[in-house]
Amino acid sequence: MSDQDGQPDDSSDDRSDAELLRAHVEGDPDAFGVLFRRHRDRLWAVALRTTGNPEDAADGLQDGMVAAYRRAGSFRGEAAVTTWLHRVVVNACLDRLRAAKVRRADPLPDDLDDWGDRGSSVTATAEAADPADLAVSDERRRVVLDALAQLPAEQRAALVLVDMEGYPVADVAVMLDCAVGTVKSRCSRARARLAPLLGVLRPGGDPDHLPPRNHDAARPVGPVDGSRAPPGAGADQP
Amino acid sequence: MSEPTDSPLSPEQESAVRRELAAARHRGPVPDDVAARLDDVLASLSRERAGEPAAAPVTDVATRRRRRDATRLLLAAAAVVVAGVGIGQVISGGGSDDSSASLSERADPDRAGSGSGSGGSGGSSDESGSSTLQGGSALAAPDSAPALPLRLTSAGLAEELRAALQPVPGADFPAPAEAPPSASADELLSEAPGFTCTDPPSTAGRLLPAYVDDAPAVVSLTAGDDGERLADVVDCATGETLQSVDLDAP
Repeated sequence: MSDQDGQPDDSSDDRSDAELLRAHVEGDPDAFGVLFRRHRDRLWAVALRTTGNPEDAADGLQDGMVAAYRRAGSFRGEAAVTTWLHRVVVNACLDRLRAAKVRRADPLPDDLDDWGDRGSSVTATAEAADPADLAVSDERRRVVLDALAQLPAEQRAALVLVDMEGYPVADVAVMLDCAVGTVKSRCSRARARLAPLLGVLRPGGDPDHLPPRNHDAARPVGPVDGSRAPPGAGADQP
Repeated sequence: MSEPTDSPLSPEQESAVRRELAAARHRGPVPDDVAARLDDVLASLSRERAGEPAAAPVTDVATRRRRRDATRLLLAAAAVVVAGVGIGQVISGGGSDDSSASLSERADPDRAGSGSGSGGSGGSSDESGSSTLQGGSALAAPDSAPALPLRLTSAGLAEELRAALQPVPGADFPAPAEAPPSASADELLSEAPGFTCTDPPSTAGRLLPAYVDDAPAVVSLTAGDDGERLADVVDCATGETLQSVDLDAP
């Protein structure tokens, strides 16, 4: 049941996500693998953008996978399986970031040699950590990812899920285990933080021509009447 | 840091930011090395579930670059073996001499492992069992305090909780109305360096950091209406209550 690359061939398994998860809980040894491989590319994208570097993303994705494998029995079916998987993986990534933050504050790390080349979303730029992005050599993406790395982890996660991955705010609220309004607020604040870094606040600012890396200082924007909520979101934006 | 950028954007400006973000979405597949690693871990999980000896401990793959995490793995794996009888024996043997050690020293798995006195290289059930459980915590009396984070397994959760918390007096189980505010993630970290629980559950009670099957969790201690000692185990990743245990139940 493997293809030429040694990867299991799951294409013939047409069970739904919920059926696969239930089968896993009931003892099917292959069901979880089929389920996770079905979604892991997108989970990887979320982990990569949330952590900001491939090493922490790989660790976070693996942590999430192990947690999901072992906690499958706790899934109550109140949300889609994919939403639940994202929730577990994102939480694992945020835990990784928090642990990395603590380790950076450790005055005498016992693993300094290992830490030296290990990424951190706060200190490492995506361009230096993401080989895929290096290959693409996309200046715009580089600036966006650098700016994204400057956000608090919770804001970044919300923005990645809503604006990058395009998930509905309601689903993201489940993924992040917070209120819909909290997701909207995090996204709004995060966008406002990113705006000057991306040059969209400059008079006549054209996002098609991103600013140089020594970007303009942030400048306040006056109040506006327009909604700040994401498309399709309700009007309960704080 | 001042945050003038938290000011609201115009709809056009917000749309521009969102376009840039969407354009920067990662569209590639999981790298081959990461995919292979995940498949290895899944295979280990399956073997573990089937009761077969895993070729390599699951979490070792995730943390092979970090000695501290690798040590934690050995402790966790061994904790499965020594759950039950071993836990009770080790706790009852814990001495008050540990009370002078700092909490972090006592809670750090590396330090606990090296201080077990067995002189082994780690991984044996005896060494790991003692290193997991000796020492104290921020609970009321040094003699009553288990090492944090608690190491638990889903298979024997109730029994292991009772064993680990058996010597903890009722004074450490506040009534819900008198319980302190739930611990923050940082407070849990301060009790057990390296422990991460991004969004601790908002439960009334004293929260202790724990791992259940190597996954972060918190144990909430509260007193029941009749003063019984209650412990709720909540998974950090999902927020689900894994088990509620009356520690004084027969």
